Amino acid sequence: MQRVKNVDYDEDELYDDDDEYGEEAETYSQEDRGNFAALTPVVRAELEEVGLQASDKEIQDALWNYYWDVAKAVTYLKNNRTPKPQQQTLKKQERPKSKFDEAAERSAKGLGESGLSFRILSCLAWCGRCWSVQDEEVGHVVKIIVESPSDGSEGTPCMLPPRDWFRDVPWTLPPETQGHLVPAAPVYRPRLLGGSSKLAKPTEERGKKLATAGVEESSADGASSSLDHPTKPKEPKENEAPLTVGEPRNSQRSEKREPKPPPSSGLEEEKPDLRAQPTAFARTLSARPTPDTLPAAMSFLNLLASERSEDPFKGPSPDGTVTKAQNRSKGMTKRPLANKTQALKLDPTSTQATQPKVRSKGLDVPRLWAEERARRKPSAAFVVIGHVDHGKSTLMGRLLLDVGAVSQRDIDKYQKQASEMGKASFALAWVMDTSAEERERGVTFDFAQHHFSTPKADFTILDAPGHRDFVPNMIGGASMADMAVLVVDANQLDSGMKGQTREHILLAKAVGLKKVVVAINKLDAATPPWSQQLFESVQTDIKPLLATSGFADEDIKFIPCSGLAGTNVVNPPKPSSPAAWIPKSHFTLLQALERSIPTPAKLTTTAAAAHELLKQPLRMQIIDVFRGSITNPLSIAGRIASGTVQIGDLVMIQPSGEKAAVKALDVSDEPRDYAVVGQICTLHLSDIEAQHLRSGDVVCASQHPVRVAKSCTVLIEVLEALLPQPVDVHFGRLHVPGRISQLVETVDGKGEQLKRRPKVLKAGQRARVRVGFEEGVPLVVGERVVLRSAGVTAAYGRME
Amino acid sequence: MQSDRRRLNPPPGGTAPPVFATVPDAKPQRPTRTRKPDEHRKLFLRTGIVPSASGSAYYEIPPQQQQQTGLLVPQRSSLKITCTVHGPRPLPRNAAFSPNLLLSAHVKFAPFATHNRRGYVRDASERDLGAHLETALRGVVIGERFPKSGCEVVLTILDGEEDGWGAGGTEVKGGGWGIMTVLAGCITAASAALVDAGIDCVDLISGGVAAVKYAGRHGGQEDGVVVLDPAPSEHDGEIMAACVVGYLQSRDEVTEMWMKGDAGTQVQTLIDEAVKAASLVRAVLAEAVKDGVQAKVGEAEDEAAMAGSAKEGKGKRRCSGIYEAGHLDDLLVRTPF
Repeated sequence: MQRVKNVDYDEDELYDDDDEYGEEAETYSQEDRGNFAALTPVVRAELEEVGLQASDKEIQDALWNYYWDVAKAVTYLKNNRTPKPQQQTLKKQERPKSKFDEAAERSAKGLGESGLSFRILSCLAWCGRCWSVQDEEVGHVVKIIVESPSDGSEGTPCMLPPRDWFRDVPWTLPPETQGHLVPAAPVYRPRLLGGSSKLAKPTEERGKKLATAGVEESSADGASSSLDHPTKPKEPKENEAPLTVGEPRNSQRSEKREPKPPPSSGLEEEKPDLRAQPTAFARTLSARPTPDTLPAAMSFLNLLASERSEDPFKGPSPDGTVTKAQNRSKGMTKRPLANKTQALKLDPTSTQATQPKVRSKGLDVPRLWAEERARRKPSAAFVVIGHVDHGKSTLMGRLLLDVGAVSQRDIDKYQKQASEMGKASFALAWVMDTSAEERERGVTFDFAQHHFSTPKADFTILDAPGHRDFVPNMIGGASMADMAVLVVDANQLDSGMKGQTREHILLAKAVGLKKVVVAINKLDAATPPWSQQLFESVQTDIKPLLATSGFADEDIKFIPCSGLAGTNVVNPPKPSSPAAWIPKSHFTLLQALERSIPTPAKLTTTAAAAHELLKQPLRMQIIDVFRGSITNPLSIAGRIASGTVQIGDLVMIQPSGEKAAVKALDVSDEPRDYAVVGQICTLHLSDIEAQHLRSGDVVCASQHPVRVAKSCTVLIEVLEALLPQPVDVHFGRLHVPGRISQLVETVDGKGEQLKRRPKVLKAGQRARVRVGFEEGVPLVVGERVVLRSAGVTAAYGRME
Repeated sequence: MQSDRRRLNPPPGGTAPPVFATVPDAKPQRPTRTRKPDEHRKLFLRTGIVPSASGSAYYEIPPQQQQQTGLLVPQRSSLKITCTVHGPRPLPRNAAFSPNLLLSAHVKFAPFATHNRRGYVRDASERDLGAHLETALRGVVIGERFPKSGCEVVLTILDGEEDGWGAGGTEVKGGGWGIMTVLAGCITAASAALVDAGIDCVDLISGGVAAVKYAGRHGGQEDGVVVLDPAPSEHDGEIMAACVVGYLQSRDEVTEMWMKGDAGTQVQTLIDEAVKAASLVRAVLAEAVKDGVQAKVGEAEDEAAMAGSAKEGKGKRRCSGIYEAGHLDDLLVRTPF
């Protein structure tokens, strides 16, 4: 009979004890058993001398623990057997206490002994009139000694039912009259002194076991038995006669339990069993799912004809299925791609990470390109260079007008607007100069692109600014071109020779242009108009300049023309006009352009090289970032330096390192599926923010990103004397402030070293220098570099 | 035409409540009390009927011997109560700090629970019952163990005790004695549900009702006899006073008492009888709680067995605090023995 919490008989602990003990007993070896057989009778005899009985097992245990020492074993058994005063063996509470219990204990300690509440005590056993109680927090044993008021004889223990003890005792703060709590001296369980762990452990276990057995019947059947515990008759005198047997219930265990009468004496009477059978409603409501009911629930699924496997987790999970399918399809796409180009190889990790919304068609671009090129007209981009106000934009406007790329109506409109501004002669230039400021000032600031096609070829005009302040833009434009059109004002040759005509020629060479068409402009404004002499004198002046810059004679064509009047631009002059001499020995500008296109014959010689370039990973410098249209809010333009690009490709923008998907792409303002090296194309990107894109950045294949470095070695042709000094470094469209950090060596034409670590580089020398940048710059090996300082081109060369 | 699309609208013509035709030859008989004055009706209690709630219980007093009248309307009232306990759960963030468990009890009659239909909104008597119930439970829950927590006890009366006897389809008039029995049932059901939810209680609380029944006139004074568990339909117009108690048997404490009517000199007897009724109910309550715990332990064991031998004690961890050995003992220590 217990009325307070008994926390000790933790089922785990008990199980553990039993298990270990059993194991121990079974591990006796043959030798041990022999020893037992020999020594047990000896011990028993000794015990019987003092009138004690002991079982074989106890004797064996003692012998085992004392390692066959008969004397010690006998002493131990004697001690163990001698009747002791009422004493409880205690066990340490091992179940971790809840926070609430701990808090309650603490508060209880504050209350003092009399206030020790039963709630917080783990009462271990009750015996006679004493409750031995272990205060969990303090660890010592508190004995509740109770003066027995009901029993007259003082000092003699009386067996008072606990129910009476605790009658009227409130939950906390038992009244003084009920008794008081006295801390008892700590009780020590008999222990072995100083044994090895081998000896100590079984002894301790046995001690525990004895204590358990002594205190009450085995509660080894755990929680469910402790459930039954309070209802088990322990003190027959207070347990009334069995009550009426309840109605049969489904659980057999509950049949042996009977409700007990309440402690209140007034109500101590036989109680009828009030448990009713549930009604049909209650049975439905409170039915626990049983195997019988489950198939009924399943039948709905069967109705729906949806099969359910026995174990829903047997197969792969839905996610797993999807992943597997994806992997399989990836493998399929990879195989055909494998025999294609490197440039098209999709990075499996990057495609997984950011799956582009646009599906790549997976085109074999080089093959398609090779097929198509035979059918295609040759195409070229040319940059128009020349000194400011020499009529570059006007000449191009005329060209576009005459080939029909721009309608006369537009020109009329421009004419009207320009004459309102008092600049009627700029009307044609307005075709190229689109920004308001350019039109107002009559000066081209940034290069402009225009496409037109003739029956023989497709052209892209890159109209470069002539003003010296905009040379960086000119370099950007020139770097995209295949050839150059140098426009020279026949009447202002000197200004051009001193100014940008010279520099532009150098830059054209620097960016690697090989062919140049020299358009000698404004011959109609000469005195006399269309003077052949003037034309030839200009020609003789320009020729050495081009020759010294490195242009071969056969790559240079001189065309006399007039942009404003349109003479000999597209249409040859009329035979009656003063310019009638021209068609005899010269082409029109357009014809010259068509003839200057790198010829197919020439291409075949470099076909292998061209094919190599196709197979290289994609490199494209961004020339312009703009909003293409509503559907393509972010577009970039540029010339593909190497490799190919197609719709759906994942590209990386360096130096930002951001990835983007190519949603669509245009070549010459026409949507295409792919673009190849050498083409000037517009890429419409998705999955990227505009802030990661700047003109001058390099678009590259995401799996072969271009290196971003802070320094590089450049092989340069020196135009101006150079020291280690700050320079503006131009890589095509990109121009960044940098510094020549080291003059590595000067080299001769074959690239052999002439001098190590020169102190200064003089004009005309070839040298290798180290250039450092403040920020990381995407660098492509072999890219053409122009170094400018103080507004003049100081050197040009190639990246190494 | 504009129509209300936000609510579930009734048919436009309205509906008529069902009118049960009386069988002409079988006159409904008024039920009579066949049990002894100190005999309680049998009742059924089970915990854990609502899996989504922390704790739940179903309490039922099935109708006694059913007359064969051929009528669909039950001639004897019965009581069916479901109780769900939600909690202990953290208070909302904006709530003030509370060192104790905030207990709230809601009692609601289902619209069809009684012969006279109930509204969907809680009326005064339901709120009153809720207040009574809350008082009863406050004394039994150890609120200090759940600071900053709240607990909702929701009772739905599916079938309420009638206040009187309406002879098959007629309006039932009574002195409002039915809700006394209902409250007693609510207390018992709530106690079982609280235990099922694993909320620490000092004891099991059970509700009991007793009434003073008119038993004729003796010497110019009305004489009453105290009966346990009065069913108002059986004692139509005879009940003079009734008393409900919420009783903690093992502590012999009453946390809630509600007396109604004029008991005259028999107040003490009336209370004692109500307490007796509560202690009778208590036996059923303790059994139901034990069954519930056992079922859960069994479930947990099954689960642990299914989970495999590698993770022993998993089942134990899976079940809430009450099945831990200590708590179990704790609980059972206070069951009657």
